[in-house]
Amino acid sequence: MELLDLQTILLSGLTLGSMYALMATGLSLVWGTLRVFNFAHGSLMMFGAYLAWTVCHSRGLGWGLSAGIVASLVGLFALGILLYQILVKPFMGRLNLVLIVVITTLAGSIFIDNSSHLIWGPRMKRLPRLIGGEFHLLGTSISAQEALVILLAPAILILLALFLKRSKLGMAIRGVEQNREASLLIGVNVEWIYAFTFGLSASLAAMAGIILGSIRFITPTMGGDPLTRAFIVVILGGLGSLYGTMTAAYIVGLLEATCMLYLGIYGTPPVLFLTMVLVLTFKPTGLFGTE
Amino acid sequence: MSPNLLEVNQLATGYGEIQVLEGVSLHLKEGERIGLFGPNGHGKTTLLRAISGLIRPWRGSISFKGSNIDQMTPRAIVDLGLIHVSQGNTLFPRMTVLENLHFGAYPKKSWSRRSESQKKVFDLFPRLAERKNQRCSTLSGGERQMLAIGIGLMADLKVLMLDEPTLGLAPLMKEMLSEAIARITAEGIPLILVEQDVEFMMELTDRIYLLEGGRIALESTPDEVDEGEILKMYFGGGD
Repeated sequence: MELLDLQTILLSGLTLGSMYALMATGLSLVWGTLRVFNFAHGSLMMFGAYLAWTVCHSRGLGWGLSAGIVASLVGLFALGILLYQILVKPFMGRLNLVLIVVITTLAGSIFIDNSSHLIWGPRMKRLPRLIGGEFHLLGTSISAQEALVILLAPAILILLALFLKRSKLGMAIRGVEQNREASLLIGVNVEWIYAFTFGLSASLAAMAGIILGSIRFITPTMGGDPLTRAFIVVILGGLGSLYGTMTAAYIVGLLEATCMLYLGIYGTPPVLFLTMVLVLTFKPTGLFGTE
Repeated sequence: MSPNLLEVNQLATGYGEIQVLEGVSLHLKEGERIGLFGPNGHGKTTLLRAISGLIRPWRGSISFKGSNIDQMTPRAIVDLGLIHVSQGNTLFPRMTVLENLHFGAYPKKSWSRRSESQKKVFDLFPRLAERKNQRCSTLSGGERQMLAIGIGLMADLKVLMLDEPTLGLAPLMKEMLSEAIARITAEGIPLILVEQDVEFMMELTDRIYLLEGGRIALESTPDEVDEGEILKMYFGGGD
C-alpha cells in the first residue's frame, strides 16, 4: 500500500468516523434511554441540513452560517420532541414497542423525506464551509473544513459525555437508562426525560447533517446511507455503551475508507455488514456491549 | 379530619387481567411503624406499588394526610415524601455509590440538602462511606441493600416504605440492618415494613398486618400475635 493511500484512508476514515459517531451516538442515546430504534434518524439528519441551508443561504433567509447552524440544532431539537410525542409516546408500555416504533418512525421518515423533496426540490445544495482553504498535512492536502470536522466531532462528543456525567439532567438520563422504575421512585419525570433525549438525539443528527452538507451535498435522500452505517456502528460497538458506539464509529469510518479505495462503492456495504456479522458471531453483545 | 397519616381503604387492584388485591384496608398514624407480612405472591409488593403510584387502583382509595393520592404520578407522591424502597433491583449499576445517593436527592427540595443527607447516610452505614467511589455493581448483597435504603433516605422523607429489605441476606447483615432501621424510625419517621422474616419485622414494628390471598387476614401487635400460628401459616400446619 502506498503512503498516499494510507493518508487518504486515514483522513477520509476519520472524517467519516466523526460523522458516524455523531449519528450513532444519537441512536444509541435513544436506544439506551427509551429502548427503541429511531428509523427516522437519517431523515432528521437530512432535514437538519436543509434547515441550516434555508436559514443561511441567500436563496432562503440569508442569515449566514452561524444562524443556520443554531436554527438547525434548535429546530431539530423541537422536531425530535414532536416526533417522540406522535410516533413513540402513544405506544409506550405496549409489548411490541420496538417493532411498533420501527414502523411508526419508518412512516415518519417517509413523510419527512417526501416533504423535504417537495419543499426544497431534488437539486443538490451545499452548505458553505466554516473554514475555507486547504493545507498540507502528512504529504497530502486536506481541506480545512475536513480537518475541522475531525476535530469538531470528538469535541462535541466529549461535551456530551461531560453533560451526561456531570449535570443533574445528564444524571437523570443515565438513571432512566440504567433503571427506569428506580428513577420513577426517585421522583424523576421519566416522560420528560424521554422527550428531551429524543430531542437531543435529533440535534446530534442535525449536527451530522450540517457536517455532511458542508463537505458533500444536501439531497433528500442523503440520510439513507448514514442511517445504515449508524445502525452498524451501534450494533458493532455494542448496545448500552456510548463509548463503544463512539469507538466503533471510527472503526467503521476507517474500514469504509479502506474499502472505498480498493473495492469501490458497491463492495463497501457487504464488507461492513460482514464485519458486523463476524463480530457478533464471536461476541454477541458487540465489541463493548453490555446487553 | 382523619388522625391517620396514610389510609388505604378497600383497595382492589392487579396487573392486566390478574387481580391481586381484593379489598385491602390499613392505616398508618404519625410516628407509627407497621409491618406487612404474608406468603409470597399474595399482594404485599403490589400494595406498596399502588401506594407509590406505580400502579393504579381498580377500586378503593389511598389517602395521605386526608387527601386522595391514588391518581397521582410517582413523581408527585415522592414530592409528598412517601418513599418506596422496592424489592430487588433498585440501584443504578453503572453509577458509583456516591452518584446513586446524589441521584436519590433528585427532587428540588432534597437536592439542595444532599450534602447533609449524604453525611447522615454515611453515618448510618459506614461501609457505604468506605465504598463511596466504587461502582455499585461491585457491592455485596448487604451493601446493596444499605445503599437502596440510603437512596431512600436522601429524599425529603415523610414515610419510609421498605419492601423485604432482608431478602437474601445473612443473619449478621440482617442484624445490622435491623439496628439501622431502628435508628431511622427512632427519629420519628413512620415506617411501612414488608417482610418475610417475621421475627425481624416484629422487632421493628408497633402493629402488624397479615396479607393473604389479597386481603388483610389479621391485624395485631407483635406482643399479642402468636408466633407459632404464623409459622404454621408459612410452612403449613394442616388442619
